[in-house]
Amino acid sequence: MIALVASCGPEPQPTPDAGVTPPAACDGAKCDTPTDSEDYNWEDACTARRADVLEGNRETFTPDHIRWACADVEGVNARNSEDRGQEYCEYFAMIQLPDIDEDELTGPVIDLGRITEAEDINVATPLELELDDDQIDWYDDHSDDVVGHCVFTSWHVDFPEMACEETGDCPTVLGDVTVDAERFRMKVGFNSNFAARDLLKDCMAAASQGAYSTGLDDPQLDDDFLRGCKLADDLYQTGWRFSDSSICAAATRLAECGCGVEGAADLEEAVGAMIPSPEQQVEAGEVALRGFPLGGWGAADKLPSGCKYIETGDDAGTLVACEIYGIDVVDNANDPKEFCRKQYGDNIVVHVPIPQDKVICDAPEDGQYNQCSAQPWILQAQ
Amino acid sequence: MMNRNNISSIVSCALAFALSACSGGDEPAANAQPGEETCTGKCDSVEGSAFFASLEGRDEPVADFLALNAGADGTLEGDYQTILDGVAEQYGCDPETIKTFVILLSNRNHFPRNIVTICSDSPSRASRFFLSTQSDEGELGDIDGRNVKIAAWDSDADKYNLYEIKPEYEGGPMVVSVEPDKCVTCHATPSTLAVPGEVFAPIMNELTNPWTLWSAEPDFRSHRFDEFLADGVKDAPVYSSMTEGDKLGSASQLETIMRSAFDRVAKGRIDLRREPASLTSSLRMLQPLFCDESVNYASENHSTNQVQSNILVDSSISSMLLELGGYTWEEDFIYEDRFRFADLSAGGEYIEVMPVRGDLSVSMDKRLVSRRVLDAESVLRLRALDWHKPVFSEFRCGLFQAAAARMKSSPPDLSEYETNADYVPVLFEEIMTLDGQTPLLPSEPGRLLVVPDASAPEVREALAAGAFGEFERGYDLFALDVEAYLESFKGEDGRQLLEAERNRRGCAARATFPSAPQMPNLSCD
Repeated sequence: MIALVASCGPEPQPTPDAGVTPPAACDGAKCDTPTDSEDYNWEDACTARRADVLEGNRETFTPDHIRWACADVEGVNARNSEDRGQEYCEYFAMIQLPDIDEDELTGPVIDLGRITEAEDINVATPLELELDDDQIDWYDDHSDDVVGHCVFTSWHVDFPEMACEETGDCPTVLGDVTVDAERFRMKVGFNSNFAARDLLKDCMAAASQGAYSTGLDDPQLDDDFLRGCKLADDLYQTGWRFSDSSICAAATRLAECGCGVEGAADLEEAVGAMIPSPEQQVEAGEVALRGFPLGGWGAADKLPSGCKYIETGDDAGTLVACEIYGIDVVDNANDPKEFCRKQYGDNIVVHVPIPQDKVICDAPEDGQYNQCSAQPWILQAQ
Repeated sequence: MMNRNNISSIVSCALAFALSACSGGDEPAANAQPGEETCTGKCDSVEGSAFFASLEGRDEPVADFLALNAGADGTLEGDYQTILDGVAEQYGCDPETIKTFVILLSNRNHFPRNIVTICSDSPSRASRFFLSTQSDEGELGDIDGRNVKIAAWDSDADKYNLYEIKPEYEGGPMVVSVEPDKCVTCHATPSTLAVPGEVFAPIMNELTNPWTLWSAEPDFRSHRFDEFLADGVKDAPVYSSMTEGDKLGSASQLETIMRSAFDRVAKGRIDLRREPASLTSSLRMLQPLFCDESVNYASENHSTNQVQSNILVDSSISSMLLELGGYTWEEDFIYEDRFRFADLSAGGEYIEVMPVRGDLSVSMDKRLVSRRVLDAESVLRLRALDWHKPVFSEFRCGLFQAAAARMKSSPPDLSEYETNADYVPVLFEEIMTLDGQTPLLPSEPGRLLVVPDASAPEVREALAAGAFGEFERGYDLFALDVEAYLESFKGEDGRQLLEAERNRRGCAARATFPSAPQMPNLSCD
C-alpha cells in the first residue's frame, strides 16, 4: 500500500527541478499538515471536520456525489515545505510575463507552486514571482486583463496520459502551453485512484467487520460522521482531511447499512463499480474517471465565476483554469498559489460519483447504529 | 453586437439621425445602432439636450445605451429588463450571464435589494456594471422593476459613473438622473476624515462566507436569509422573474465580482504613486492605512464555530510577517485566515455581524508594499500600534488626522520629490509621530513598538512621556503575542470576551457609516 500520510522526513530532499527548497524538514513538531502537530488527536480533527461538513453551509453528501472543496483544511500550508493540495486536488498558478518593449503579453509562462516531484517532501516550482519595476507597472496598466490562470487538477497521479499526447494535438492554454500529463496531472502519491479505492475498500471492510461493535462507551461514536472519520484516522491518520473523513464516513454507513453494488460479487468489485481503476477503464476503452470531476457547489458541471474547464479530450472535467488578472499578479506576487486557494479554492469542488441507482442496501433489522435511510451515504447533522 | 465607442460619437450620431429622421412613432428604438432611427417621439428637443450633454465624455456602455434609447429629456420606456437587455448587448455579454444577487436589508424590514450583474462568468468583466433595485420600503410587496440605480465603470475616468432611473410620477416613464447626489451618502468615504477618499465604492458589507443576509443559494446554504424573506415577496412577480431558474447567483459569486470591483476602485488610488508628488495625493494613499474608510462585517459560519480571523487580528499583520520572514514562522495564525471558537455547548451565542477592517483598506497595506512604495516593516510598525483594535482605532487614525491638519496648515516643500512614491515614505514617518514631535520609532531596526491597547490610561501616559522601551518587541515576540492572544479566545468564554469590543466597533460603525447593517444585540449605552 502506498503511503497515505504526508510524511515529514528527517532530511531535506534534493531539489533537482530547482524551486522551493524546504529550509528544514519539519523542525520539532512544526510542519504543515495537522498530524505534524504534537497535540494532534482524532477528536479535535474529526470534530472540526464534522462541523465543516455537517454544520456549515456546504452540502457534502448528495444522492449523486460525495463532495469537498479543493482548498485545504486549516493547518495545511507551505510552512517549511509545500503541502497544499491534500484533497485529491492539486493547484498552482500559471502567469505569463509581458514583453515590456513590445507592450504585449508574449513572454514566458511561469508555473508557481506546482508540485513537480513528490517524495518524502514535495518539490515544487517557486512560490514567489519576482517582478521588476517595469513588470509591476505593466501589470498595473493591464490590471483587468487575464494574464494567468489558477489551475486546479484532479487528474489522478496513476491515470494514463491523454490520447492526444501520442498524436501531438493536445489543446493549449495561455497562448502555447500544451496541456499534458507532465504539467497538469497531480503528482502526490495519495492523490491517486489507487489511494481512493483503497480508502473506500478499507473503510467499508473495517466497518462491515464491526470496527466499533465493541467498547462503544464513547458517546461521540454514536455520531455517524465521527465514527467514519475516526476510522479514517485509525487506518491512515487522515481524519483531518475533508476527503478522507467524508469518504470513510460514507463508506462506513454503506457498510453498516448492508449496502452493495448491483452485479458486484464482492467488496473489490463493489469498489471497482464506484471508482473504476485505470486498468478497468483502459480495458473498457473509455475514460470514465480520469480523476474525480471538478465542479461547483451548485452543480457538478457549473464552475464558479472566472473558471473554465480545460479540454482533455473527454468529459472527465478534471482540469480547471480560473482567471488571474494583472492586478492580482502584483498584489500576490509573494505567493500566487495562495491567492488561488483563497480566491477560488473554496468554490472548486471535487465530486466523487455515487452510482445511486446501483447501490442496493439491506440494512440489518436491529442494526447497532442509527437507523439506515434509503440513501445511507447521505449523512446529516444528528 | 456593437464595439465600444466613445460616447461623444454616439451622442453625435444619435443627435444627427434623430434630427434627420424623425418620422418614427413613439416606440423606443431599443438597442438601436448609430445610423438607425433613434427617435422616441421627443426629437424636437434633442438638440441642446441637457441630458445628452450630461452623457458626453463618458466611456462606458451604459451611457452609450442611454444615448441610443433614452429621450432627449432623459425619459426611458420599459423597466429593468429593458435596461439589462440593452446594456448586455452594448457590453457584448451573453444574456445567459445576467445574474441576480439578493441581500435582505436589515434596516428595511428585511426587504430584498437585488443586485444584477452581466458577463457574470468573469469577475473582472462583471464588475464593470451593477444594477440595484431601490424599492426597499416594501410598500409594493414586490421589487419595483422601474426604480433602479446603476454603477458603470468608466475606464477613461477610472471611476464608476452613476445613474438613477425611476419614474417621476406613478405610471410615468422612467427618467434618468445622471450622477445623483444621494449615492454618495452611503458609498463615499466618510466626510469626517481628513482627505477625500472615494466618491463612490461598491458596498458588500458581508463580504465573506457565510454572507449573512445574502442569498447564498444555489452554491451554499444561506445564513439568516430564508427565515427573513417574506413569502409574499418570494412569490411576487418581479422578484420571481429576477431570481427564477439560473438567474439567481450565489453571494459567493458576488464576492469575487465585488473584490474585482474593489480592485478597480483601489487601482486609481495606487496609481497615484506614479504621479507628481502632492500632499493631497500622498495623504489619500496613506489614509486607509490609518483610518477606516470602509468596514466589512463578519459572522460565524452557521454552527461550525468558525469565523474569519480578522475579527480578532488584522490580517495585514500576518501578511507583513510573511513578507518579512517567508514561510518560516511557527505561529499558526500567520497561515490561517479563519479562527475556530469553542463549541457553544456551554451556552452563549454565535458572533454575528461584527465589524472588521474594510477589505479596501486592508488591500491598500499590501498594495503599497507590493509596489515598493512602503516596506513591510513600516506597515507592520503601524499595525502593531493599538493592535487589539484592528478597526476603529482612535489612536492610529488620530495620528493621521493630526498630521494632515498640521501639514495642511503648513504645507511641506515637495520640490525634492518627483512622484508620490518618493514622498509617501517620508510622509508616513511624519504621520508616525506623537504631536508631530516624537517619532514612534523603536530603538533599532527590526523591532517594533507593540501597543495592544493605546486607549489604556497607563499606556497613553507612557507614550506621552516617550517611555517606549516597555513596548519594544522583536518580530518574533510580537508573533508570539498575537498567537497567545488568539489562543485566549479559544476557551468556552471566548465569545464573551469579545462582547465589549463588538459593541465598541458596532457603535462606531453605526455612527460612521449610513450603510451599516443592523447588528443583533448591539449595546451602545
